[in-house]
This record gives sequence, C-alpha cells and structure tokens, in this order.
Amino acid sequence: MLAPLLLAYAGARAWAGYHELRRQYVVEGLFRTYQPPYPDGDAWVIDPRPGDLWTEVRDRYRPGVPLPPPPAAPTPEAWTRALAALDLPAHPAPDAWSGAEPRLWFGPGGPWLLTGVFGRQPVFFDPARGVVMAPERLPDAPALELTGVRENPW
Amino acid sequence: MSRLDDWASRLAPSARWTLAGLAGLLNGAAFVDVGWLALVANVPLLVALRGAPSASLAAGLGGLVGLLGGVHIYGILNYGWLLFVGFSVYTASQMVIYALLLRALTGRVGRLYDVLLPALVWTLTEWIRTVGPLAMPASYVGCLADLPALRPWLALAPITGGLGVSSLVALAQSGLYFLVFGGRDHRVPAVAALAFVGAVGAWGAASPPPLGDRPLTVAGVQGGLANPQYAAARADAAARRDVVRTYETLSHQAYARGVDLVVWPETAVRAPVLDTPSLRRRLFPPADAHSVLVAGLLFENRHGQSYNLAAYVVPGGETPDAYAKKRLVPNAEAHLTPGDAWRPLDTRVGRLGVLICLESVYPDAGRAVAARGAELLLVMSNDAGFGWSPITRHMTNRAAVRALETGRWLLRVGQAGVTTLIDPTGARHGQLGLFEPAVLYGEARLRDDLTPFVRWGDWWMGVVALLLGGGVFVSLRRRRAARPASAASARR
Repeated sequence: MLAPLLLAYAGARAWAGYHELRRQYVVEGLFRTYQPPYPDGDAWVIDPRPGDLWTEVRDRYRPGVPLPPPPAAPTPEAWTRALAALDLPAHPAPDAWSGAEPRLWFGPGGPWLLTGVFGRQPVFFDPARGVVMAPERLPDAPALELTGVRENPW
Repeated sequence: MSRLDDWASRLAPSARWTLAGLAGLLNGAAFVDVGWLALVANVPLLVALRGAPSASLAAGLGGLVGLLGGVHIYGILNYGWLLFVGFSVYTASQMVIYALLLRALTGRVGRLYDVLLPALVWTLTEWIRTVGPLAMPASYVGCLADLPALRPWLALAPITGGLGVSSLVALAQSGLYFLVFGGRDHRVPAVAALAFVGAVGAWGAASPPPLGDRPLTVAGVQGGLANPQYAAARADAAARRDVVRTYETLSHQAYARGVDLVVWPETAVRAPVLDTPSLRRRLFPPADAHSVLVAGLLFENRHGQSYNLAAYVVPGGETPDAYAKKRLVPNAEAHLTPGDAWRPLDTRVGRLGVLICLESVYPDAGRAVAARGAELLLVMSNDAGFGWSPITRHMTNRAAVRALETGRWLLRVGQAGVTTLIDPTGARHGQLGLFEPAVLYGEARLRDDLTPFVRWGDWWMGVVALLLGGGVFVSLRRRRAARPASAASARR
C-alpha cells in the first residue's frame, strides 16, 4: 500500500525537478526583459532580442545621438551614406574579419552587425534574432568595416 | 520480547525497504521545502532498523535513506553531475554509519541510552557532513531555520552551535519512535526525552538572545540577473553594459538614501572594476556619499591570479581592504586562487565578517570571523545556478544558522536571491524575491560579545563523542562479561 504511494511521490518529485532544472528563465530585468538563450542550428542566440539594426548601431557606437533616417536600402552603398550621418566612417571590408573592427555583413539574411569575437567565435547582431554567437566565421559576403570605431566595453 | 519487538523482527525485507524509502523521502522533503518534516523524518527508518537481521541489511536501509535524501538537492546539478553524485553518495555513506551504529548499540547499554542513541548518532553523522570537500547543505537545524513556530528551539544554537539544535530534532524523532513503537520499557525515557525537548523550547521562548544596541542601516543590492545574462556579457559588450548599468542604478539608489552600508552579492560585476577608473566612478559611492560599499567582484592580480573578492570601498572609491573567498567550490572554482584566512573587514561602520557563498554553509567560517571580532555577518552569494530549485531555501537557512550561532545580525545578498536580513533569533527582516532586481533596506545592529559556540566551537560534538564512546565501551564490556557466562552455561 505504502510502496506505490512512495513510488508515485518519487516519480512526481523527479518529474518536477527535471522540469525545474530545464526550465528556461525569462528574467524581468531593471531595463528590459531577458529571454532565455537558445540554439539555432550550429549557432547560439545568446541574447534573444529581435530589434532594429539601425537603432542597434547607434546604441552601440553613438549612444545618446539622435537617430538619423535609416538606410534607404539594405545595400552597402545605402548604409555607407546613412552611417556618415552618424559620423561613423565605413569602408568596404578588404579581407576576412579578425574581429578587431565592427562590420556590417551583407550576406544571406543580412545585413547583420558583427560586433566582436569570443574566443574564435564571431558574435553578431541579427535583427531577426538578437545577439548570436556563431560556431565559425561567417561565409564571405560584401561587408562594410566601421574603421576606427570602438564600442564602450562597459 | 514485547509484541512490537516480535512484530518488528518479523518485518519482511520489502517492508523494511519501503519504510527506509519513506524515511529518505521525508528527509529530502524536509531539507528542500517542508522543514517541519524533519521532526519525524527518521521515525520510519528506526522502525525499519528494529530487529534488522543483518548488518548489511541495516547498512543498506541507511544508505537508501541517505541517497534519497541527498538527491533532493538536485539544484546542484547545474554545477555538474560530479558534485551531485558525489554529494548523494557521501550523504548515503553517513546514513550507513547511522544505521550500523544504531544496530550495534541499541539495547546494549540501557533504556535511556536507547532513546538518546538516535540523537547521538545523527549528531555524529551531521558533524561529519561538515568536514571535507563534499560537505554540503543537509542539517536538521537548516530545515527549521525559517519556521517561526520553532524559533524558540533555535535559541540553543549560540550555545551548542546549530549541531545541538539538530541533536534536539533527532531526539524528538527518537522520543516519538519509542513512545509509539518502543513498548512499555521505553515509554518513560521517551516521555522524558520529549519533555526535555519541550523544556528547551520553553527556555528558548523565555530567553531569546540579545539583539545588540548599535544600529546600522544596510542595503542589499540584488541585480536579479540569471546566469545566461552573465554568459552573454562575456561575449557581448551590450549585455555587459546591462549588468554594469543594473548595479550602477541600484547602488546609487542606496547611496542616495544615505544608508551606512551597501552590499553587493558575490561576483556581481565581472569586469576589472578595481583597475578601471571609469567603472569605479560609476559604481562606487561618490566622495560626498555617506555609504560604504562591500562589493562582490572578480579580481585578477598582476601575476594572473584570480580571486572571488569582497572589496571594502569608501566614498570616493578607495578600497582600503578586501577579503578573498577562502573556501572555493570544488571543481567549479578551480580556476580561482583561495584567500588566506577568514577575517573580518575592518571598516568605518564596524567589523564585517564576510562569508562568500559556500562558506556560509559551514559553521567554521562564521565562527572564525566572529571570534576575530566581526560585529555583523555578510553572506554574499550568487545562487543563480540553482534557478528556482528549492536548494536556495536551504542555502539561505544554512546562512541563517550562522546568525544564530554567532549571535550576529546577518545580511545575505544573493545575485538571484535570496536577499534577506536575519537577526540573532533567526527572524527575517524583509526578503527580496528570486530574480527580482531590487534593493533590500533594513536596520541591523552590531554586537561584539562572543557566544559560547564562538568561544568553544564544537564542544557539543565532544560531549556527543564521549557519550557514544561510553556507550561503545559499556556495550563491549557487557558482551565480554556475557561471553564466559554463556560459555559456562553451555558447558553445564
């Protein structure tokens, strides 16, 4: 009589614990809501927060500056003109990305903002997903390098 | 042989295993969420052990209880399987000792001793659990520390340490067991044991510990961020800025309120704050502030050694003193260098005894800082890795035991929680919710007198060891004396 009850309780406890440990946390932070990270193919979306790429560029490299009109088209040329309005010098990227300077990458699904590398893994902002860490370097595609631009690390 | 003895000796092995399973689940539930169950948790095991036909069966029954109790602390799985399995097996091994000693000594010394024995043996095993790298939360006093109705019994902790309160819980279990299952012979000692437990409660209710008379306004800053936010902050500057901005905003709220002491949780900001003037300006109390800060930071020195640090910061940003976590979490903090000693920070608001995370689980660190003059205890913890698992409750309760033992007010500040202010009676003065970004304000009081526990440490364990050793001695003498007699009667 007692044994089935104990087994049922133990099973329920194990089930609850399993789900408790696997539960993804949505954290109501002081400034925004943090969604749980998730894998997306080989990549990890480490900070899921889909958003506007143009605003992201301004917030990272020219915080506090009024937002000029966004690029007219998702092309390097249109972005170069728009970035000039933010006083951000952009040039066609000459070679593979080392992570030293931020880039705008115009490959499939782009443009994305490549912000840095973690170890050897590129970290970028994809307006559809948020901040993503890719397992290896992104495929070659037209890109703009934001020359001499530094993001405040803190 | 009483009818109950007869019944117990005829218990089928499956019934004994079931009872042990019940005891394991009751112990586990008591540790993680239903604290009062501790008062009865081992009663089914005592029934299962009664008349157990072999030592190996007794050991197995005890081991099952320990294992089932241990696995309830599954929240540590987030820190690795090794720690979880190691801890569970370690807990099981303690209960094997419990079962074997009970089997060896019950009925061999005297009826009163029989009733005391479960408490003595439990005390021994709980004390062993405070020793060694796998010593982790699992104490009866920790089960009770947040139950207001049982607070009078916690008054024993400044004298005996939390261990004495656990002894009392185990004595209550034993009293109940012998009252119900012990037969007529054990009824009087069982009633005496329960009366003693009741008397201790009455004494505790009548003589609560002094609360101290030097007030100090305190603020615990709880960022409320989860581990994924810190993981993202390692790779992405925007996420890092969020962490810094969270602590900057909350800390300045506290500075603006003019509290005496502001405390961050463990490793709240994992950036080189001490080496970065702009961060010091943003995060530390400004020169015209009244508050001092104890900041939980990671710090790397010029030799490349990293420390889990509690830095004492005065208005203007200078850091006259710092404490480095001495007892590091096995495996998870292997990359850090341990500090050299438990010692209080000598600050302008008083001597502050800092315990970082795991250090608050053990009685020795709290006792050491109190003995060295700490007037207030600070427990800085992370606990985000435990998520919403109930181990956080037990970790907080274990920290509360440090307040009881040392007679100090204790401010516990968790990165994810629990942030709370605890007085020397164990009462909580406010508490923030898990993963809630907020500041807890309160008024603590400073004390510098030394409790008997702080003066004499594990003296209670010494008494228990003497009683156990005495029981073993008497038992062996009686066995030796019985052997020639039985041999002689066999010859006749």
